[in-house]
Amino acid sequence: MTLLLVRRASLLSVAAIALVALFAGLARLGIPVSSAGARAASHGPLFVLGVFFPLIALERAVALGTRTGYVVPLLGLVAGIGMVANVPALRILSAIAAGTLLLLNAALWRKQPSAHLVLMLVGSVCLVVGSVAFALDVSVSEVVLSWMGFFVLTIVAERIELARFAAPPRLALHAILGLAFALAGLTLLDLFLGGRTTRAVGVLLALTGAWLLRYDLARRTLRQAGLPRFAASAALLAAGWLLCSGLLLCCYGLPAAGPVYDAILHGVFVGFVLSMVFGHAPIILPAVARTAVPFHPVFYAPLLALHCGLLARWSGDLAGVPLLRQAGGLANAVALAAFPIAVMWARRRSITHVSIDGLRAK
Amino acid sequence: MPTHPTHPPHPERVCWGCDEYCPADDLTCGKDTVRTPHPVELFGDDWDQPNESSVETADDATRSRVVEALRTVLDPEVGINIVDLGVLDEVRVAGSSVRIALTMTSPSCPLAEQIQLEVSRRVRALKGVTEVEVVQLWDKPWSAAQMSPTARTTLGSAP
Repeated sequence: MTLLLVRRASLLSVAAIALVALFAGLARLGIPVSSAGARAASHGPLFVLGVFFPLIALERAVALGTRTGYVVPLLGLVAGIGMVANVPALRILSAIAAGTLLLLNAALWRKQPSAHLVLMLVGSVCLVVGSVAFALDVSVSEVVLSWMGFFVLTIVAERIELARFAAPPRLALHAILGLAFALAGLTLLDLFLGGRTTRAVGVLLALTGAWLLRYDLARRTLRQAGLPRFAASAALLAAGWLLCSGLLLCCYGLPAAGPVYDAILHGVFVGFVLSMVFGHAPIILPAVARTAVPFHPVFYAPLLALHCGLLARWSGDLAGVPLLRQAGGLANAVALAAFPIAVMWARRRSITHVSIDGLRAK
Repeated sequence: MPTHPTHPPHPERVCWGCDEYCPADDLTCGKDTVRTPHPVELFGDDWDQPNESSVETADDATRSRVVEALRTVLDPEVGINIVDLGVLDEVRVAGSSVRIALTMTSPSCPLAEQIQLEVSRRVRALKGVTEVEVVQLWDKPWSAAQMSPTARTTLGSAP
């Protein structure tokens, strides 16, 4: 019961940090948002270290099933709250939390060794290195590729695990493992070589996106109905954004700021990572919070808003139309806020229907 | 009246068609042109033992009901039940106690606990089941070969 409380409280804390990060993002876009301007610079790190990382850590802690596992998401949350409060000294906590995720993944690997868990382990090494660099005041534009390495490896590892249901060719499996390991290596090298391998990272991201579009289980589950189809739609759209972002990174490299920087970062973190989060929230939420999330087609509305918003943002970035970028960013923010509302609405609706059906049965 | 021997030392020397037990080549009764063999010649030494596979016990019936109930527990990601996915490894029934072993697909999947709880809930709801134990097995990894042909066809892994 206590652990369930910890899980639910963690989810609420993640939601609160996400809200702050969202407002900071709007302030970065030039949309006047009261008191968020001061945190505008920490928009990206807040999402990466205060929202996505604790979510992934929480998932792994639930999977491991031991009390000590929950130290990882809790440390991540404290670090996230530290960032919200503008306490740079707490950045080191993120690095420590990332280190504990490495141990958590190692514990999972010990439970049953497998290739996808090795990928998760290597991914957490990327996070540790990136977070240590961030704590040492290395700029976000320099550490962001290692953070990307963490998320892409973690998600790809999960997709490889799922791909076993469709038994893809052995060569394809070896190819994605090779791609992922190379990606981890190059993102880390990029940090130490001052951006000399950025374009090569772009090629690997694009190839990874293409692999997912070709071999991901989502291509099969798209033919199912309800939740599997929704998750598959989100996963395939995510893979598409990874491919596009990789191509953009390959063509232009990663500038320290500006429209191309904006497009690449949001292509990966919104198009790829957040889309995967949307697709899997109705699957993972019942497992983590032990609360039923009945699927409802209304879930497609925020997913569509997320991708249309990102398309507008990219158009604005690449065509040099700031207004379009702003509108796209706003649509992304609305999508992120609307998704939990849609989930709560579907849950409430299902409870009401069950009650009415129960009364009718009596 | 002589009793029917279950394991005669030389069954081939006797006609076993009635309770006269005539020598094999007599055939004086005229009922047939060849002798009737002893069951031990047709079905082997254990002919008089009950065939366990053909007699359904109460435990077998419960086991079948458990497996059917578990066909309603779905993996939400793929929309296929855990029996067809090959996650259900073993069901042992002893009276009203049921022990279920699951081979989960990955130790990193947070759904394992939820599936374990759901399995326990569904089986506990069955009539005649009072005790349910659900365990996760990690000593052998899950493999696609454990999936049913239906699941393989649905997910495109059928050869």
